[in-house]
Amino acid sequence: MTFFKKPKKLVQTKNAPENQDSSHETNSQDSSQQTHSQESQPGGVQNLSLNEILTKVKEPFSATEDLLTHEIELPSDKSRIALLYIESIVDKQLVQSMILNPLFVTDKEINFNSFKQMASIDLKKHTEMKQVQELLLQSNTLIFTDDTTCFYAMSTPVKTQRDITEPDNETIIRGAHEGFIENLSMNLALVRKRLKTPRLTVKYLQVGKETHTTIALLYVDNIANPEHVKEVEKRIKSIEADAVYTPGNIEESIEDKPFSFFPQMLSTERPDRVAANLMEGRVALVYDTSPTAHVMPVNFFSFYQSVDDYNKRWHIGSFFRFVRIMGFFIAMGLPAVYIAIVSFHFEVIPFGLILLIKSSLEDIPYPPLFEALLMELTIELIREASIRLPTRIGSTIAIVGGLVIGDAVVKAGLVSNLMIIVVAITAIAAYIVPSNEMSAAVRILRFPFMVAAATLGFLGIVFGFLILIFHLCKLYTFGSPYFAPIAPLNLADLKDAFIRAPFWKQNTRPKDVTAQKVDNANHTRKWDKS
Amino acid sequence: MRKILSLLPVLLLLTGCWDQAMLNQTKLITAGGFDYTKDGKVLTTAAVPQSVAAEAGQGNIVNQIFSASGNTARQSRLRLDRRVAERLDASKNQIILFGEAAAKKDIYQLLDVFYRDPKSALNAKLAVAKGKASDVISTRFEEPKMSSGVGEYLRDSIRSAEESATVPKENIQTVCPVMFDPGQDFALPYLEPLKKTVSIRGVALFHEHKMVGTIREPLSVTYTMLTGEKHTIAMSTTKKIFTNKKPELMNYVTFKVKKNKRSFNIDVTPEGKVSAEIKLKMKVVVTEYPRDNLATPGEVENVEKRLSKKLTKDANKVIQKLQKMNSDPYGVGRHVMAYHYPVWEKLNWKEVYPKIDFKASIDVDVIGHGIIE
Repeated sequence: MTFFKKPKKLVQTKNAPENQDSSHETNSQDSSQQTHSQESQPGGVQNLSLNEILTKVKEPFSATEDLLTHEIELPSDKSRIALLYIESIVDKQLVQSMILNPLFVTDKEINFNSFKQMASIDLKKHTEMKQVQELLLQSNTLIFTDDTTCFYAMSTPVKTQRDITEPDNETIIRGAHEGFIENLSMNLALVRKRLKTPRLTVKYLQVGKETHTTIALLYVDNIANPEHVKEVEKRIKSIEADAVYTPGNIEESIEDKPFSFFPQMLSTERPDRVAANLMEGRVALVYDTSPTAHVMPVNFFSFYQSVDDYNKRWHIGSFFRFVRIMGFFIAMGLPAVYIAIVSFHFEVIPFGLILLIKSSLEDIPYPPLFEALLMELTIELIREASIRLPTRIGSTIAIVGGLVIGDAVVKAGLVSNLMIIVVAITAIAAYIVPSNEMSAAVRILRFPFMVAAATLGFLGIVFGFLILIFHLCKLYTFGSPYFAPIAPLNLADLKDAFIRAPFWKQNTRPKDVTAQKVDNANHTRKWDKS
Repeated sequence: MRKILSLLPVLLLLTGCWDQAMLNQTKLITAGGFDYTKDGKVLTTAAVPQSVAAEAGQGNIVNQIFSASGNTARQSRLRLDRRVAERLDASKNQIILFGEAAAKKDIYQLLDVFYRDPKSALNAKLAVAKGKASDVISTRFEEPKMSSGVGEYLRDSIRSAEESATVPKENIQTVCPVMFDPGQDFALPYLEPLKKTVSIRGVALFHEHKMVGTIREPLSVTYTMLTGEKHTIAMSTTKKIFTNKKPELMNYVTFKVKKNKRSFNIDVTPEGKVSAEIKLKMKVVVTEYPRDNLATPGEVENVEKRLSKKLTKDANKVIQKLQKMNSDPYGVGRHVMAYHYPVWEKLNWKEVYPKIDFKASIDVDVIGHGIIE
């Protein structure tokens, strides 16, 4: 960007009102080039002719053919203007209706100056020549005039967003069926719609030197702990990479313990989940081009909360919450317990059952560990295949996987009936978790448990859980304990961990978030107290 | 440190799993029996169910009976193990039978194995068989479910006898402390093999480790009542309360105990004379009374009176028998030991017990007479 030298003299023309609308120059994203811009401060556009400028502007874009230029002579004063935009990301109809129509269709008297005043909201004046690239890539249409000290930009993005639909991986029965989409401003709108407070703060951050991925950092100013906000911002700003494609890239760049199996940020596609977490004092990251949002800091139990819980009657919500936590233990431990029992401690099986189990196991050639590994891997294969396959073939996989393999494997005598039951229950229990990441973590973790059970029996399982609990207790995310409210124990916060206490009991924010305001001013049912 | 940690997984490849006990490589003993051979060796008999069909849940179970002898119970077990293909495991054992001759010798010597092995089934029933235990176990019973086997059949037979209060509830664990208690004894079910079934004939009484006699079936219910057993599912018995009615069955009444309250008084005089008395207050429901007319209060009173008299007579008969056998299952000695220790120290309980003044009385209160008026 050195081809524009520092201007020797500002070309001051007679257009006095022009300076008034320079107030729109609000881009604050050029932080990385701060030093450079100081050097060319008064403006990068030099005293060059319009043609020369256009040539120079196009230069960095190599030979891309979707960068279009329209040169127009205005009918009123015969002045020339040039429109510059990247065809593929600009809505041409918008260009037509917002720029060209006002210039031509209306009054003959119109010239560029009066146009500027008409369109002053969308039209922004820029003088920094080095912003040209960025603006073009952000779907702006640039307008160059004979006055080459500055140029104008109008945002004309092409509307390619899909409809707002319910996220497939987080469906609920009752409650809002809206989900994030691949458009940042719409995603923010979905959150703002739920939190109509002036204290909801949005901070735009950009990562990726080439990709310029935009991230919005959301928090509620008077609730969220400023330390958390600062920490998240710091970590994101420290990302230096040419390309940051997915939220997963960012997650891995800023999480505390990258080697842990457990997700340390809650990924969700539900704006209501994000909004509720923001009001608990957490911080959220919302992405452009991805429907996934991240919430942090979270604890273990956040992954077991579902929006559904809060829309059910509280007893029922509590029951299903409890069932989910049970699901964690079943998914992690059941195959291990089965292996331990049939290969070490079969005396714990009730007498009425033992002969049944024994006769189903009698002719299985493999040790239980191998049997279990075989079936667990089969289940994972079926799962993975059914994700990749188009939905129409998906049901075929269900039949082939479920019926044929399940039945044939038993009939062939490779795996016992009981193992099939255990694997099936385990698989169901693993998918009970409302969070896909946590479910994956649990599914991976049961393999070490199975090995431990096959080597040491129940003792091995105990060791496994010990190590697991050590890890969970040691884990901190963004400075707050992951296994709260169990460790450190906070009895009051258990109201939203194992059970879902009624709304009128939930009148404090969780302690582990260290929110600025712990009391959430939840005083309902006052009418009942008279 | 890192190096050591990275070597840890290698441990898994070592010839480990020495302590594994795979269910499908084990033979489960469901019933065990002890006898003595003629030359004084211990003969262990074990019933091992074996599934036949491959399809689980529908498989038939065939009982295999193995037996081996040895100088001790453990040795015979080890020899038994050598006779079967897989490892024998007694952790799911349901019943241990003693041949009558073996029970009369000493049962602790045979049971010792079970108290030392942490995996042994402490809730297995104990019973004494008339004749040889091995005969009972190897009988092909008519009734056993095809899915279980002789162990479960014998256990269920004893359990149903327990429910009707014919025998007291005992297993390996409950017997243990009593066996070593000088002030108390215990009783086990006494069963007799018939051709294709087994019949619980009453209780076998023990003194210390030895069987000393039996109380046969109708009377054994009275024995169980006297232990103060609150009430079982069907503690019921039939008693003859008239002698002169025709036909013969008009003389009988059958009742079921609803409530049983025991007061047990033991008096020790300063001279060291021990006397004991068991008083039972029973609330019963009449379940069979062919003479009918139970709706009239006079008749009910009559039944109560005659029943109390009859039961008291029976109870005293039981106690007489116990004293004769020198078996103290109600724990008179334990009571003396606990509350009158100086006296206990002076007494030679084995000799004193048969001579003490021991009485019982049963008071019956009819609280129901079935659903007909």
